[in-house]
Amino acid sequence: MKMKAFSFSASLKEPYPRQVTVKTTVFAVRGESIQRLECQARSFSIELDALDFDADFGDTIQLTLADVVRGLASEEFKCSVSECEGGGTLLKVYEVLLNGKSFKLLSAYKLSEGQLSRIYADTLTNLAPWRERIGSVSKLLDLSLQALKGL
Amino acid sequence: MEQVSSALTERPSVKYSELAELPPEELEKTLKRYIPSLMPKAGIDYKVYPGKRPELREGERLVAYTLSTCPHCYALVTAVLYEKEGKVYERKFCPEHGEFEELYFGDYATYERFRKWQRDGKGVWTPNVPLNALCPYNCGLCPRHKSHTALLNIAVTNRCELRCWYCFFYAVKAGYVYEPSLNHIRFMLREARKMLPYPAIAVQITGGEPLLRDDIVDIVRIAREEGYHHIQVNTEGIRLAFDSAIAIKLREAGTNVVYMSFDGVTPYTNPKNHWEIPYALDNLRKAKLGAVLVPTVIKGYNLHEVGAIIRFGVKHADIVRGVNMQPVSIVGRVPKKERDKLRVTIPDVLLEIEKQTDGQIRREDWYPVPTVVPISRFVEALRGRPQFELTTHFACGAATYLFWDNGGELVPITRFVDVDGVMQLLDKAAEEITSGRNKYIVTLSLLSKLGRYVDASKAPKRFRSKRKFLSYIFNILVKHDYSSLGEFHYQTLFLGMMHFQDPYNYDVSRVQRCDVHYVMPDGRIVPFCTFNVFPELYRDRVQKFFSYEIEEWEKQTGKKLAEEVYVRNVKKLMEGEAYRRAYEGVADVFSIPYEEHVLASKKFGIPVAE
Repeated sequence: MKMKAFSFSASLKEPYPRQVTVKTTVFAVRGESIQRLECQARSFSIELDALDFDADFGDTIQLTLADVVRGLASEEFKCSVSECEGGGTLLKVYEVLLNGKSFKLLSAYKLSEGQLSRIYADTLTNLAPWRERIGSVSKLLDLSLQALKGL
Repeated sequence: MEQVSSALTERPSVKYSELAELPPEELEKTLKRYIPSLMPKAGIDYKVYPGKRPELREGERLVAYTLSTCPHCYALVTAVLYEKEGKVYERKFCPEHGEFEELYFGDYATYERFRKWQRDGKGVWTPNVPLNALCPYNCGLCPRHKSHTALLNIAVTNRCELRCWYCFFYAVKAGYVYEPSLNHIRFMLREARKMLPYPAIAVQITGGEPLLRDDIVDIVRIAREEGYHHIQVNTEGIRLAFDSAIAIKLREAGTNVVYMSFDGVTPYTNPKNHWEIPYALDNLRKAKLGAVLVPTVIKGYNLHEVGAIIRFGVKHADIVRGVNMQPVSIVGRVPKKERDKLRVTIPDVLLEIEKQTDGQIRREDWYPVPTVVPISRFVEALRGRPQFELTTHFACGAATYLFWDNGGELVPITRFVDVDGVMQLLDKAAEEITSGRNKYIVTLSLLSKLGRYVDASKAPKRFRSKRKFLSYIFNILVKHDYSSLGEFHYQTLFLGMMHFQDPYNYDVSRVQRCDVHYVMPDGRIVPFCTFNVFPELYRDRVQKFFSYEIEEWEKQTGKKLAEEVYVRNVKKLMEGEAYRRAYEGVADVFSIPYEEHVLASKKFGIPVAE
């Protein structure tokens, strides 16, 4: 199953200033452990990637393509899209730097009816402590907690 | 839209009478199954052309780019917002339908002043639809929406007794009756109460004309039972004018306020309900049920009366709680030349108000809606859980509070309260509490400083007690006693401005922050400006799906739709004491010949009994 991962930095002016950098890493779940996936990088295309971008960041960090377009007066949006080939259960780790504050967010996907469906996602506006979040993910994905502690 | 029409015919249909009496729990299971087939379809209902950015031209300064839609085919396109000669415009290009250019905000300085107040909400943690399409074709609400519902609209009928010339929405024109059952209404209201991080607590019952429903009082009662704290009924006021009992019943059932269309102080500017408003207000007085007057403001039509409308509100401030102006939203295909004759934006109306009140209410007295977010953030920091917050886009609305002296002088709250200072203080206090400082110490420090931001000597006489004013703030912020807010409202006039979007000035960035929503009959919750701007994709599609055929409805109810037409007796209404009293000192309505009154009513589409 293919999974897109966006890594980007944006300096947004409108409707209010936001400096945001996100680095995404994708892991495949193998038994009780996780394995980082090798991905093919390419540049961002609105036509190809807009919906996936919103799906990744619209709720997790409250940033949509509309925000990026709106804020882009300064033209500072650098984004690479990695296409990752992996298994049926995947974990994404987002390292987010937003207005000088850093966060680590997780989202998890499982194969369901031939499609990867998101079954878990952290959101910046409702962020539990890290320990609690990795506990939830380990239960959902049948992973050892140890595998997530190193993230 | 031919494409939309064919898509509609391919959709499964339901016989609404078979669904109507199912219990709410059963409706939930049944209705949600229809959602996928009712969602807008890419390639059929809309196309996506976001890649091409419109170029700037000579004399134009870039403000921002944004996503918008083609007014003709609803395709997603990129638009440029630019400043030219002190105003902000939007320009976009659809590969199929060409270029569109529209005034977006009538004053760039106000745009920048308002923009500074923008705050985003916490999003919607309980989306009703998965994210399967770009915005605005995925409404429900979807996971990327930024604001919780601040005001929920529920349309309870598409019947109306008026035949306004511009309206295509009412049952006779639409060709079907949309009138959800009480169980269905309960289901819809419940859906919006499930929203997290903050459930809907304010609802507007709307239509059509909701007072045409015999069970309107039951609907209000259901809203109260389902946990809504604030219930308002949106009406043209005709029934209220002739039936004093209905106002009392509405209030007793739990209605907080009536939202009443009121476009001006003369028959020319307000042919919809000019003659009935005085009687409606009197009946509301008897019922002790407040009203908010809602003028739709149109250039070249009633823009010259915005000052008089406010004075009318002040004159009736014993029962009028607010005036909420709505700059016109231009629907349908209207050529640019015609649009320019009608178009006004928030700053244009603010400027006119300043002129027409001789500078008593200035542009600077108005603040954009998200200005009040620091109040919510402070209370949230104190209580440790998400609060109701108004995080709509800064270009969507503005407000101020108005006081007055017995001499008739109008005094906006900003003359004696430093709003910027208070909000900064609250912001700082919220920040301190969330970063771990003792909340009691922070609150005490805040209260000790608040007085510096209130200059009671500049307030109207009856408000010259700083202690009284600060006690309101203390009760609201610290004791969470919202009866104080109510008391405050009774002594002031709320002035609001809400500019709903239309296909010509559409801005996806605004709609993603919208906090005025509709609950649809399938349980989806949809921003006002997708529900009404793309009716073929949302409002009409879903209401038609869950509607009765006219013959079926007439058979069931024994009523005849075509007979539900209001015929106005202008003469009798003008002879009443309430009519004279209502306009006295605001507009010289008796200097207008009777024949002109009649003509104004007829031209608008309301027949007159002569």
